[in-house]
Amino acid sequence: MNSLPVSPSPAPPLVLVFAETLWGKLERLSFELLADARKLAASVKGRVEVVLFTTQEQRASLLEELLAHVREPIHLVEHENFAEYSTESYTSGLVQLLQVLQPNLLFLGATTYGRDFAPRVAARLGYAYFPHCLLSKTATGGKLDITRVTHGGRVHIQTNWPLAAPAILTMKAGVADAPAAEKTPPNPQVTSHALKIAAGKVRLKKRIPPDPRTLDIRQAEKLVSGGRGVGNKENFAVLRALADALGASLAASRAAVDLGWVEYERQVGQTGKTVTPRLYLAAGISGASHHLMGMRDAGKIVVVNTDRQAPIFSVAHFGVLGDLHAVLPRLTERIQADKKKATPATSK
Amino acid sequence: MKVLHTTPFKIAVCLKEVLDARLPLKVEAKTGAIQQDAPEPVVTLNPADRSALEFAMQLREQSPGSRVEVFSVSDVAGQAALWYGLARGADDAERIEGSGKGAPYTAALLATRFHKETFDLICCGDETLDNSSALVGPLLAEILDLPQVTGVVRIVECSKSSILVERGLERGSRELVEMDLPGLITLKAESVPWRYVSYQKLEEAQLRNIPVRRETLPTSSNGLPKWPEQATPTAPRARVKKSFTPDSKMSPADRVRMIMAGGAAPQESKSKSSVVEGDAEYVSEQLYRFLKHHEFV
Ligand SMILES: Cc1cc2nc3c(=O)[nH]c(=O)nc-3n(C[C@H](O)[C@H](O)[C@@H](O)COP(=O)(O)OP(=O)(O)OC[C@H]3O[C@@H](n4cnc5c(N)ncnc54)[C@H](O)[C@@H]3O)c2cc1C
Ligand SMILES: Cc1cc2nc3c(=O)[nH]c(=O)nc-3n(C[C@H](O)[C@H](O)[C@H](O)COP(=O)(O)OP(=O)(O)OC[C@H]3O[C@@H](n4cnc5c(N)ncnc54)[C@H](O)[C@@H]3O)c2cc1C
Repeated sequence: MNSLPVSPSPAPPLVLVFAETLWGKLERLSFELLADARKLAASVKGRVEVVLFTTQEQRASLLEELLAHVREPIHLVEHENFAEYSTESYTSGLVQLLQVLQPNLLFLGATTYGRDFAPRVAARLGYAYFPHCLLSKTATGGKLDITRVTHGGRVHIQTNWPLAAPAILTMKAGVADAPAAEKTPPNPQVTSHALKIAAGKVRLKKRIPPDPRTLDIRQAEKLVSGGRGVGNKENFAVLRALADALGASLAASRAAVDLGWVEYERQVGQTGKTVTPRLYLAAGISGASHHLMGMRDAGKIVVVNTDRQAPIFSVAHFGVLGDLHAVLPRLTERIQADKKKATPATSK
Repeated sequence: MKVLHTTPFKIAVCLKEVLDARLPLKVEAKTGAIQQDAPEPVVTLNPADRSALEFAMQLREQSPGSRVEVFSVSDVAGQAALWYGLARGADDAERIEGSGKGAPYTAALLATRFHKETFDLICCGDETLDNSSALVGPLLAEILDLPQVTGVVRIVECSKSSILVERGLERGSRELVEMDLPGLITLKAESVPWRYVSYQKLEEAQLRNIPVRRETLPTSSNGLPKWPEQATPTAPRARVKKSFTPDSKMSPADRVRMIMAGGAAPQESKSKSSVVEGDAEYVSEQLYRFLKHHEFV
């Protein structure tokens, strides 16, 4: 009698997520990637694990932040050369780690850093590389369906790739929602990898944080936007004060721009700019379709308006029916009071 | 930009002629052909490459004796990209015979050329308007074993042994970094303002004979990422957006007003969340809590 050959069941596919940090802080995008990776892994009965590069000083705080959202195993590489980003240190670190972990897929953000070093990693390992992808949630017949965004977002290139051959995908920001923080601390397994990390020939000289007042509104993380309801040019001081307190940039509707209250570069909408900040606070804006078109994909939309019927409420995550001149200054004060508390009398 | 001890530089600039994707585009559903709404395809020198070229020209101006050479991988002889490079004042232009087989091949072809001649600095665009993979720069640096800075938004200082540049990061943050030379940088389109190139210069450039090189690629794909054979362009699927329809119960005047205002007329609110109202003290506190809960303050 012939005995059936016993083939070892193949290991479930491994999807790795690179948790990116910018100046010692985790990028929110990493959590979006995690959400993507979970969906994909679920569809192929795979597993998700997370990679974090850090230094000894930052290890504790970054891990704490990560553990609020991550229940999957974490691979940690700690090295003094990770105190700043460098192409060579990141490339050499990730190449060595991938050789150990042998993933099927690696997700990174299509950020400046991600786009800088991931191609070199893919080249060194002979992995496939897919830049600027949208979520790939399907894998049919062992193949991953991939959508790449090209031509300034005007074309989507469809392609597929066998899961069995390792690939790196860089993902656009804002394609998935970040998973909610875990209610009970998940306490996943954390593995430290001791690796030799190259130093590289590029050195960081200075970090230059953005100035929200001069930032292009398309790059702003938070926007405070005003419309005709603000009343006049001088009244925009109320919005500026709130923007300063929030670390937000100022934006406006076309009506406010046409009236000469705010510069055209700050106009949101069909004939202005399309923005996707994490926070969009619209005050005294009615929400004409021409305006909504430019801001409806913002993360959270907050509305302050005196007219309950204003269409802008239809896209609001939080609405306040009230006079902006009464509400906004109080909000500004509240935020400032909070800041003072957070930094007690050290300002001498 | 400041140039320290004016030593001559040898600078290479990589130029690609692209389909001008700033114009309206459509994707032919059957064939996947990407077309503009024009009788002839409108091509242009990739904007980011124009900035790379401009920077190279300015560096040459400030350090006498420097040379700028422009390169393009293409199987098309009439190369507006290279003509433009010459018209802007590049010392030499060279076309490397090769077809669009994916960014890794383009990088490998360029690398074969740069293995034969060393440049102090190689300048690329950050990404192209059309295929926009942002791959050629990093792969070229990888194959040539050069340091790189990608996403450069400003050039601060240049010396024979190093270059000081700012790179753009997420949400408007920037970093000032110093890179040893030789090295490779990729520049963003808005990094260096372009100078005017006269039509006369362009015409003169078109009369120049641009040499063609045939590089043979190493047969092994070692040291290159893999890339799929098949890829189908499609139009982005239109997201379903709520369109407004004027309500027949509205008065004609309201309907006209609604159409004129793009929907901004009386309409039942369908908010995704509750709307708070009350005295200013109360609502501003609620608003504050919402912002706090979502970590905006
Ligand atoms: C399956 C497939 C088929 C393709 N078919 C075609 C085709 O028929 N015709 C076609 O034109 N393209 C085709 N392409 C795309 C082409 O291979 C790429 O455009 C590639 O040459 C450059 O990639 P990129 O545009 O993403 O450049 P990026 O990596 O975004 O470019 C960054 C920078 O690299 C430099 N660079 C890029 N390309 C060149 C170049 N050719 N010469 C010199 N410098 C350059 C420039 O400085 C540029 O700013 C195809 C791609 C694939 C995957
Ligand atoms: C072809 C075309 C293109 C356009 N492009 C754009 C564009 O790019 N961007 C754009 O924004 N618009 C654009 N528009 C104009 C658009 O249709 C609207 O006219 C415009 O957006 C209205 O601006 P608004 O909301 O500031 O003013 P209004 O519609 O006048 O709304 C003012 C709002 O303020 C509220 N308000 C008044 N007082 C207070 C107060 N004290 N506190 C709180 N709320 C108050 C009112 O209830 C009202 O809802 C375009 C129009 C056309 C035809």
